[in-house]
Amino acid sequence: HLLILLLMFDDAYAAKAADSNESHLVGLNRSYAEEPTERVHVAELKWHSTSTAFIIVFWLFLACIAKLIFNRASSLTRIFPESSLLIAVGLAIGVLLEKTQVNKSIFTLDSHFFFLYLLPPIIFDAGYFMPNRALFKNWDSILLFSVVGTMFNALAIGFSLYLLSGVITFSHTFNMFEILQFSSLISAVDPVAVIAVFEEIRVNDFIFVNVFGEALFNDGITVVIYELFKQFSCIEEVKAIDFIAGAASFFVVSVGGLVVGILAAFLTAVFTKYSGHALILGPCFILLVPYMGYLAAETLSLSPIIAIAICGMSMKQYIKGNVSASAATSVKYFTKMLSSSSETVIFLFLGLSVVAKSVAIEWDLAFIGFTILLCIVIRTIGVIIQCAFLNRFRGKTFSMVDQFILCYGGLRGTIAFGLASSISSSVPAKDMFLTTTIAVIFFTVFLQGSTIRPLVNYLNVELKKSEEPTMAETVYNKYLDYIISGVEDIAGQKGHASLVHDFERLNNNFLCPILMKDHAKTRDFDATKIIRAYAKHTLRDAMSATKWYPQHKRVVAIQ
Amino acid sequence: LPRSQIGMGNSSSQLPRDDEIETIAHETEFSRSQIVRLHARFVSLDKKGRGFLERDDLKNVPELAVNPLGDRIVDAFFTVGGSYDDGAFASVKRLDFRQFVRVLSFFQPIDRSKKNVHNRRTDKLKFAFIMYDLNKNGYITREEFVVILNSMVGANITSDQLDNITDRTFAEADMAKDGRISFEEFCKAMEKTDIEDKMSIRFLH
Repeated sequence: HLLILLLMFDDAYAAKAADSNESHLVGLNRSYAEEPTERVHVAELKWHSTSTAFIIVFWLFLACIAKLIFNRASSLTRIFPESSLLIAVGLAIGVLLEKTQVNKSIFTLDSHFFFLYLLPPIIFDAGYFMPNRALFKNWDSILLFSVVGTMFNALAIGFSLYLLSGVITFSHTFNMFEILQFSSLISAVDPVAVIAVFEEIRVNDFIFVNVFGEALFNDGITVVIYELFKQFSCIEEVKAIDFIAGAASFFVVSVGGLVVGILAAFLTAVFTKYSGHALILGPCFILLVPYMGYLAAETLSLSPIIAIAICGMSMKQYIKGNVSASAATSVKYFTKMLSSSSETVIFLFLGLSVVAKSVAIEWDLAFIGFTILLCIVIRTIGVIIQCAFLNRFRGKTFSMVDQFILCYGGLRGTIAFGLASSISSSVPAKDMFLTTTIAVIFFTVFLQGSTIRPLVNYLNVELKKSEEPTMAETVYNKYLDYIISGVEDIAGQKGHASLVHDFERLNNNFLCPILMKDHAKTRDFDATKIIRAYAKHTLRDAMSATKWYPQHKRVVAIQ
Repeated sequence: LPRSQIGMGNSSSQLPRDDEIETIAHETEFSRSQIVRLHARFVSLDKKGRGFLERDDLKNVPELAVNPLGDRIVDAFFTVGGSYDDGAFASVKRLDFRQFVRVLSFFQPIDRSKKNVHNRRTDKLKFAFIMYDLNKNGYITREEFVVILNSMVGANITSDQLDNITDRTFAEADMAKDGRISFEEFCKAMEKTDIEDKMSIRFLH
């Protein structure tokens, strides 16, 4: 993180410095060569040797201060989500820097930097802590929303805007492929924004996993159609073969990302299994290998987001068996810290970038207005149609309230901004697209983000269960799983429970012995969940019996 | 008439008669096509073609063999299937098609718009409870609990851990502190679980 930031800022700083051709090292030496050696210096100001590092650390420090203030000013955070407050702070700082005429290149968010360094920790963290059970139970709805829903949104918004441009004059003209490029990036629900907002309001797993699952897996389709239309606008004549290639590309990107993710999870599990005695190695592997998977997927133009999310989800149970409890805790803490600081930096820089980009560019209010309107309307239509279709085949149906939250939780975020920045400059409407993207992001994060909490309360949406399940619940839940699996087998219908049971047997017989250490190959099922639950409960009881309970509460909570 | 005498024609490979389908549909709220499909399953389980199922027929289902609670599930089928309308249970040796469908009807998803939602939830829990209550006295004793826990996880944990987990579960669930768990206490322990979702099977049409 820091090293690359250093290099990036170093370029910016060096450009600004009077002697622009000097390298960093020469700059260091210069302080000795230049000063006339008349007197011995007691101490001297070496700003230019520490400046870049200082600037970076200062931003992070500022971000932490901002978060600290927000934690204290609970009246603000009750209304606005933290992400919106951070953007506001970024805006304020941007205006300040703008007024003091600081070089803009220091504080713009480079999309390259964003995708390679800021995004991975957040997605990994989300994947690792994903409620897997709820995800698999809703795989059908998540798949539908992320693939069909996103495509529908992209095409509908694109075509509508194209038709509108014939009626209303926007400040820039665009052809079909250019507007489709724009609509494909603006229709994607953003995982970072969803995490930022939903984590604070803590809705139940069912809704969360549907919104977040969609946000996560739509990366496969968003990037594909964005690239597709980008390439289309370069090709002279678009043929049917190009569409077929596009469709094939979608499968390759998504499934390829999945495969890379699973491979990375597999490798991590194996490496942690054999890293027994060197305690530091385990956590290192856990953090490095998924990131390598992310980069590998990005290199092969597969979906890196899907890769690292799947990696985090798959490796969870094997890791738990391979590293010590304290190592697992430190990994947990570290990923949370990384993802939290990434998130903070992202929103801060979003605010800054707005100031940096927007001063010279005018905002096309009509285009912005119509885009926002279309985003809302078309998403709502899409959700209603898809849920109506799904409800005919599912046991757990989407109620009206569920559907409302699904519509309302379709937040846009920095991924859209990153993609918009990377639109080729040969597109005349690029700046208009960029400022509109910013406007849409602001609208969703500020308006929808701040009103979603009161709405959730007003509609009595079920919140996440905050307590650990009791011992009785853990045992009985497993017990019920087996019952349902058995009844499904008798009735001859392969339902969810029997599939889970089949996987559990496969897992226990083949995968766990390979991927986990000390896994006795016993009968077909695995008791570790019940045992772990029991261990947690006894630990909590023991802790609460001591007089140091308040301090230890946090320790128990982490474990 | 005792339930075992209301049944199909002699050959179970025929489709059930229309009026029988009607009766079953009315009784269990399954649709016609679901009942036909379940009948096909019934026939495939009834390998000897006798028109009823015995315990061994169900135990021969291959996936049940690897289910740690397989025997208990089969047993529960034959207990619930032989139940009378007043809710009393009696274990039967044979299960005809109507009883077979009746047991499965307990696992239908609950339609919240219809009435009797609470009854449905209680019915599902009753099935689970029956499986636990080996001697059918209406209570789960400590020994019965240990037996079930042992079949689920026994090979992987020591008998000390088994006892500890049992102690803890009883400490949580046994409100009356009489060393056994009644049906009400069982329901109370499960009140935070989404039983309607967990214990429902989406039957194909």
